[in-house]
Amino acid sequence: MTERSVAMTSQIADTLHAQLLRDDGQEDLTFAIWRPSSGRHRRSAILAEVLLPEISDRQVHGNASFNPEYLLRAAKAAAAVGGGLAFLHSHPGGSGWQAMSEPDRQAEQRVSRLAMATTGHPLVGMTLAGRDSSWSARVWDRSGSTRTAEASDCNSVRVVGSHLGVTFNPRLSPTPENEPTLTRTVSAWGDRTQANIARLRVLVVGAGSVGMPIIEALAHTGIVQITVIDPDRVELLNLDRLYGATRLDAILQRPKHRIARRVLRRAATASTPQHRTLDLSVCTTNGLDLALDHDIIFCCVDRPWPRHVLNVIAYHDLIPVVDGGVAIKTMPGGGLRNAYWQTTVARPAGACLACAGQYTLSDVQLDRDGSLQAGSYLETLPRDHPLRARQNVAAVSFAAAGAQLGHFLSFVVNPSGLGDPGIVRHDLARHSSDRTAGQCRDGCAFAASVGLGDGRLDPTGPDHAPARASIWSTHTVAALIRLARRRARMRA
Amino acid sequence: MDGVDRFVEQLSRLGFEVERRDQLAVVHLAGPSGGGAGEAVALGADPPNDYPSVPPHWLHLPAGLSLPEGNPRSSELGSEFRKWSRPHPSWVGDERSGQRWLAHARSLLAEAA
Repeated sequence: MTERSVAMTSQIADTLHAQLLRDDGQEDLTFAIWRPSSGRHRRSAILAEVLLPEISDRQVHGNASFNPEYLLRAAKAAAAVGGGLAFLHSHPGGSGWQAMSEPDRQAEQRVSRLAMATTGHPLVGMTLAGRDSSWSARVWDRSGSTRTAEASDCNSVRVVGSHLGVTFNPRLSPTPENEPTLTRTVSAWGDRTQANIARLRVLVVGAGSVGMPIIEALAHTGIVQITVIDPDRVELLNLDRLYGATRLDAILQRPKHRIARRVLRRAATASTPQHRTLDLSVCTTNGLDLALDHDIIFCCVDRPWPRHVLNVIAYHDLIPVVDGGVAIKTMPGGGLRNAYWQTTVARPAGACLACAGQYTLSDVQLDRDGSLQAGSYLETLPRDHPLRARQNVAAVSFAAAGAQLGHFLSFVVNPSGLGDPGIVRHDLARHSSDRTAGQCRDGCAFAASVGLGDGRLDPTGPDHAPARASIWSTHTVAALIRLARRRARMRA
Repeated sequence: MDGVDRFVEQLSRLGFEVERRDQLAVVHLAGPSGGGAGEAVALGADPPNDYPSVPPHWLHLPAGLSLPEGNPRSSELGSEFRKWSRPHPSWVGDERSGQRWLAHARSLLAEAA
């Protein structure tokens, strides 16, 4: 069954607050345009534009009512841009997810007919609770051969700004029970924050040296739904920093996502975890569709193409991406000059990953057409070119993972109301951290095209992962024999 | 409309004659100096599906022209062309991307011999 959600930027949320939460405490209303964002199992409505009423468009009398001309005008405006119509009103005295009164239901059902007829999309109805600014939402769809639309509740409404605010439908996304193992975690930030974090749908892209410690920490934190995707396999070269992987994993070239599955199983504290790992690249259509089912994404990859796909999702589908990158600088004659790790959250009104310097747009097609996998291409680049960088160290990867987790907490838990710290760069040699405001450059195309949803230009392509070596190569057999002999010696 | 169509449209709006050949586009451009100075040279590009968000990195030049730092590959346009990987240094993907690509192509053409 397809789930539903709604997402909006904090800018849109602020406009709606100003309109709907009146000083005189009465209800108010407005229409808005939404765009679809279709994942594998979840369809989201991205609020794109608020169509505020003019003076004569509605009447406020304790409740609020609108004139037909306003509805018509709003529906036509939505249809003109290929979007759907949303109808929003407030319950000034309410808190939490709001149920609909019978008058609310009848009003929305009437609006839904015109909305569908004019825009071709179902009506999204929303309510803002005045006491705690919680949102609730439903989609008015016709099912089967019925002519009358019925409301299907959304699972959640998320507001993406300097922090991530999510209102969860308590019936469809009930608060998970806290196990005794979570006592210390809950004591840090309270039951309400724990309930909100635990219900987030978190995707981790990349189960490598930075991703694996993050995966474990998320499972320890009691998050119920964690998905990990990675199309790569463990190699001997990974063992100096790939947490959770063994020599046998490398010899057998096990898929990294299966190592992640082992890590999740060991670390899970949620009472009924729904963790899954997949051999999948976010750069494929299936990978993108899966990503759109989530509320927040960790980017733990170091290639430009997957970073670009996630950048697109962050801006067009309003799913924030917590990104981290590592750079190790060596001295010409050998030795470590310095190491840096940088974290940021890609989100509207922040810095996109390209503007934050986490990847270069011009490198995306190099990655996509396989040029970066071709050793002959890389050899033509200068030795110190970022695309040739292969140095990494376990301690630095763990530090980067910790920094990304810290950034996630700032964004989601919002300690002291400070939210997203911007672009944070850590300098190992000086043991200093540098923060800059996360903002896109003037003219950034991502900043100028927020909330396109399914109207995004498709950043995916066919998976061109290099052919994987057979696990029964001579090298593998020889390594297995050595391992068996070593174990026999240890037992003797 | 795919990336090649959008590329063709952007360059056409700037007054250039652009021909689509399968997944590539060919435009005639005169370089300000260098090997392409004076006369229009046929240049090829293979814009990706999400152009202008992502730029092409291959520049297809007539086989008689070479760029410094070498490393040409055979071109999908045939033996009269060779392709060179020269990513744009600071790409922005919007309605003015066609102009950016042309400026980049001209500067490379100026280095061609």
